[in-house]
Amino acid sequence: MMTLKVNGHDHQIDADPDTPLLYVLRDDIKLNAAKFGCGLGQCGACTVIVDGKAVLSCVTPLLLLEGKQVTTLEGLGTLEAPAPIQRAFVEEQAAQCGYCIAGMMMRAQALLQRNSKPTDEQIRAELEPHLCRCGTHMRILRAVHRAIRLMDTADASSASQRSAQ
Amino acid sequence: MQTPFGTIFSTNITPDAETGIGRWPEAAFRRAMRSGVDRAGRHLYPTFPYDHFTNVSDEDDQALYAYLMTRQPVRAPAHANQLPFPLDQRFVIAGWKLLFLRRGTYQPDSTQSAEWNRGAYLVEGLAHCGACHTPRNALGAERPDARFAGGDADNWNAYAINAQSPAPIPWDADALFAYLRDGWQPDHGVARGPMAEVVSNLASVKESDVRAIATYMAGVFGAPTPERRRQAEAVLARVKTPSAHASQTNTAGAAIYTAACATCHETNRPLPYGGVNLGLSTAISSPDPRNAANIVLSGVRPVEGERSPIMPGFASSMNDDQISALLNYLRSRFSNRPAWTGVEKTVADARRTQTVFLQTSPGPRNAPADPTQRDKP
Amino acid sequence: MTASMILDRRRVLAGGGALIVSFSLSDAFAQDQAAPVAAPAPSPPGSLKGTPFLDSWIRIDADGSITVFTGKAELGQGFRTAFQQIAAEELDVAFDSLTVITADTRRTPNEGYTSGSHSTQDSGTAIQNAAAQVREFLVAEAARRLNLPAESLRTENGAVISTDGQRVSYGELVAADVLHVRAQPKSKLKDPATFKVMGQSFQRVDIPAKVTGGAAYVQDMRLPGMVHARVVRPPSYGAQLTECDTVAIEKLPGVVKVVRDGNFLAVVAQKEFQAIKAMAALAAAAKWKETAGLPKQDDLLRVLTSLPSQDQTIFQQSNPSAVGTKTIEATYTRPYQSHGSIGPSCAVAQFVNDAMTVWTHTQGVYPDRQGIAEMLRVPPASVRLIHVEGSGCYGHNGADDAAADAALIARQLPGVPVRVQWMREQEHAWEPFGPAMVTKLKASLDGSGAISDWNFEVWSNTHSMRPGGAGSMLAAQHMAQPFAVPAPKPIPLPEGGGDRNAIPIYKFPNAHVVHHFIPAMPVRVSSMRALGAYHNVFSIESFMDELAAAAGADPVEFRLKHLDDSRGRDVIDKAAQGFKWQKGQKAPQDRGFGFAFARYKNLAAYCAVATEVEVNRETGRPRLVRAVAAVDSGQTVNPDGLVNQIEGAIMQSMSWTLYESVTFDDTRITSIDWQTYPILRFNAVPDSIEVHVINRPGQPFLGSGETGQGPAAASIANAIANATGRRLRNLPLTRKRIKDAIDA
Repeated sequence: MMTLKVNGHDHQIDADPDTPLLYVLRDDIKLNAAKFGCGLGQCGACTVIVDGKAVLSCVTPLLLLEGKQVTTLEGLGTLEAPAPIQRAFVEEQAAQCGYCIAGMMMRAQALLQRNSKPTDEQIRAELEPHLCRCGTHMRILRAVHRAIRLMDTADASSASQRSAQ
Repeated sequence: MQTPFGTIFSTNITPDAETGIGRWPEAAFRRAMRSGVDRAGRHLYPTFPYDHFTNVSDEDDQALYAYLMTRQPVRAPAHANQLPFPLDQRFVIAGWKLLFLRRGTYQPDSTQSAEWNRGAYLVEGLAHCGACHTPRNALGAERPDARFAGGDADNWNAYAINAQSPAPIPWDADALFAYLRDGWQPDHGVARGPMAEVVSNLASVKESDVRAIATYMAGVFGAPTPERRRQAEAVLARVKTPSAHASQTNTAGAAIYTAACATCHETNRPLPYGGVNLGLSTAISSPDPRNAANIVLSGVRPVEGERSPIMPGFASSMNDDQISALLNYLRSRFSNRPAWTGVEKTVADARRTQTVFLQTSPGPRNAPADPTQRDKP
Repeated sequence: MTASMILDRRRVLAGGGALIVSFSLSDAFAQDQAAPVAAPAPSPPGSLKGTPFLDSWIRIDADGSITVFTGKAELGQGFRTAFQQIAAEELDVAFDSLTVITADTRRTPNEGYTSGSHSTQDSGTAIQNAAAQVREFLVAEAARRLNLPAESLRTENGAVISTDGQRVSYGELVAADVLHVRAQPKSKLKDPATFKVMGQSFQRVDIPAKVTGGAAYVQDMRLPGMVHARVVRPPSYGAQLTECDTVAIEKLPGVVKVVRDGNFLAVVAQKEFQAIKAMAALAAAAKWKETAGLPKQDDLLRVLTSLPSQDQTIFQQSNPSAVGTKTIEATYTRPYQSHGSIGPSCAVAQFVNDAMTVWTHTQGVYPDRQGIAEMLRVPPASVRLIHVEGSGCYGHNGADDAAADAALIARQLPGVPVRVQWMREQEHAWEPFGPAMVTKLKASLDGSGAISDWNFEVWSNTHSMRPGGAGSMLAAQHMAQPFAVPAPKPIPLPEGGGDRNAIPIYKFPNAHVVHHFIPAMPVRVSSMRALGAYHNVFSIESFMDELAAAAGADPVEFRLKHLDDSRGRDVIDKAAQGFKWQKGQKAPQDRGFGFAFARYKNLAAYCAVATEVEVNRETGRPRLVRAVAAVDSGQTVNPDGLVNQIEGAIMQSMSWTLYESVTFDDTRITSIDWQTYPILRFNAVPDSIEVHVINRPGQPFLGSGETGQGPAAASIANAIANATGRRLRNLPLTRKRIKDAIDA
């Protein structure tokens, strides 16, 4: 039995300690966003955020996660209240089959959390571990750039709200 | 290039007239290669390894000059070096050269084969292996008494490649040739870190030249002692019959290994696409834990569009304690050497430098590849 | 022909009732079957031909909610959204008020496979016409009730409205199960100039769930009591299981069952990771006898052209007065290539009370159902297949096989939902690949620099081994009582398989096109996006450039010189203009410009692609700098969706063209993961891709999902040739091949 903190909630996980986080998320906690693409750390579809950093959940066993905070796409926002990255991907219609997208978004989110104004080159380098077979790359890049602007305005508006108080 | 003395920036060697070597006559180029002096007569820092390039023949210097002068000129002014006084005064180098630079081209050894001599010429000259693989003295010169006894490159440990080689399976000419040519070898693993770029470049070098380098270096490694051979056989036997190993004292490391590493490193899948059995890994047997730390942190990146090994890095999913526990476990399980010391500090330093290395180093262009697929599309 | 509608009112109920209507059109549709039919009746358009009843497509409930049924599947192309737009437009209802139900053997029409870029052409057309006819029907019924002429009524937002403001909602007019009337051959479609929904870039209805972790894929299904299964596939084609101690496996934690049926081997466990571990143990316990049967990988040109083939001249044109003075020839090759779906195949099956339900991302629920029923030796009516999205399949990947795996295993666990998930290595090794192909071209130029004769030969396996027929599926092939792999057949023209797009769209005085159909399939093959068109267009469009160069002509001008088709010409002009293509242009240092054009199948969408490629002379590395495309897909339903498809086609085709080939030794497939079958990563993404859509309001829909692949490939090849002065003809155009060509 292990306690795993996912999206701000504690979960009691009854799984072998060598279970990759991907299966804990999907099979035990019933979350959908992190996907099985290869299980080998080669494609990025399983990417989630652990303690602020993007990780490949298919090669991250449960036993590494004691005391760490896991964030999945579900933890960023919902249909009713989407996070800037989610809004950006919808507004850019940055998906064809969409299977790779959750992983891309988590990687981008982790990047923007530590560098709010990456260059196009930095974004491309950051997404290197990720495969997209449908060829949605151009839109994914546009969506990340859009997310930068959305996060910027969100910060700006909350800052002006604060100063207005 | 980071040196113990400060940061030195390489200069523009495109034929740009203003910022490159566009105005250099051939004689000036040869003088730079031979004696470490630029066109204006200033001493060059030996990070430009003219202590090796001094061995390059006139013919090859001429070819290099012709090649460089026909490249695309690019305007790129040199970045100022970051050296403290008095090292930033170039006349200081004169003294260094007096002490350490032996000029002149390489002289062949008539007791050795043509292939060996060719290898010696390349290794001591253009390939400048010793620049990474030989330890340096306090003044930054390669120690002639410790040739190929191990050195550094970008916070990677360039292993000893002489009789002190820590590789569990001794290197011979065939193994070296395969490794240098393909970027991997079944009994040793896959080239990574700065060596990945080296083998990537060697992939387009004439096969006979790579063979020559391997022949020469096999001599430098020397024939293994009977004891060493016996140990190697024991390692191979153990590798072929993997058994579960329960560590009494390092259960954390054991658990991490089993959960995160064994799924690739203990399958029957052969190299280069299956993870190397760590019992064969020089990184684990080396006295220096840096490479093991680096590889765990950053993994092995794919080469664009070419069949090549991919290993995920664990920098983001393992913290320093976890990596240290893992490394200590790997050392105890997969080598018969004494435990490493200072692993925690090594890991912390490695984390910092690897981030920079990954951001600034270009990916290798050619792929370490299965030789049966090497020339396939 | 005009319709005379006879409303035969058997029952009328107000509100939540049912109105049963049948209408007859003319003698040809007379109820009286004995009446002689003078000539074959014109069929209703699209898939209505096979499924003529309106209520198979549109259902309106008493509360006004509207359901649209399509036999096609959402593959990530945006069909669900497009069909919703089409129906909303013709029915005059709000876009959000519709639900689209896709491929389900119990609920939707049988539209065969979602393939060949037929979905909008066939299903979209059917839905458009059915919706228009339903709307007409509703107006007629409202006219009757309000006692007003039908022409004075209009529809808006789900209601029929009279000039004096009376309003009757659709739900009041008709209740469920009442639209059971046959479709007419012609519909009163809306004037495209009045479109409010069609032709607009509505946001895709499936994307919100996909970006917020909603259940969107078959991989996300979780049924109560569901267990996890993993198959242990043989190590190679034809391998025989000689021994396997399953007793130890049955004792592993969580294991529910080990299934062994001949060479079919699988393990079922409570938890997913338990199933994976058990699978590894089962694979280690299994001993196989293998047979070497794979050809030499670098010898495919010789292998394909020397295997027995059925040879057919598929096009012939003769004009002896056209004589050539200069002749050139070239041979082009393509290796086996992989679909490479990002999500390995998956299916869920449940066997309850002698009825089997399978949730699957197959492209054909009906044919796959037939195959699974045959495999299980049960009546097809007892098997239901429901399409649930998987990751992009790009043709016949492992989806159908996973469905069969799940059904076979579920049968052994009655009542229990069984989820089968393929591993990455299994998908890579066992999916049916896009076939290797060889083309040989020879053409002559006359004195004026025009092509006087054209010869094209193509060698290829079949491009379709899809089920129907159990023997198409691995589980059925591997069972103890196996089904034989069905004999491969060529797909007839005008669609074609290996000969798809083999007949040039250009007009040549003399032309001769031969299809060498190769039945023997040493490597498992089937349909992969664009089928033979990818290689045939690559060949034709590369060769057109070679001819243009021989004639000293500009590539774009040269193509226009030989092309009558005005829509094709428009697309070429548009792409060239968008790219700023100039005759006599010179690309910057180390760069080249390329151009290519095709009309998919010579009857679907038109696409032209212009590219700028940079080649590093030191390493040979090609880099797409920018691409500009133009596409004409007839009436555009969702412009952004179309642009998305073309962008994707260019990226995907670039990956195939520069990197991809399946590898194998004499026994096994060796390209089994992304290390050994590398595809495009972000470091190869170009600076920009522009897509110009030429909308043709009122024109039939033209299939666009596969129109970009061939032109993108040839355009890139032509740009590389322009940059390096070297012509490469063997796919993929790898860095090493380019470097060797430069050095040669």
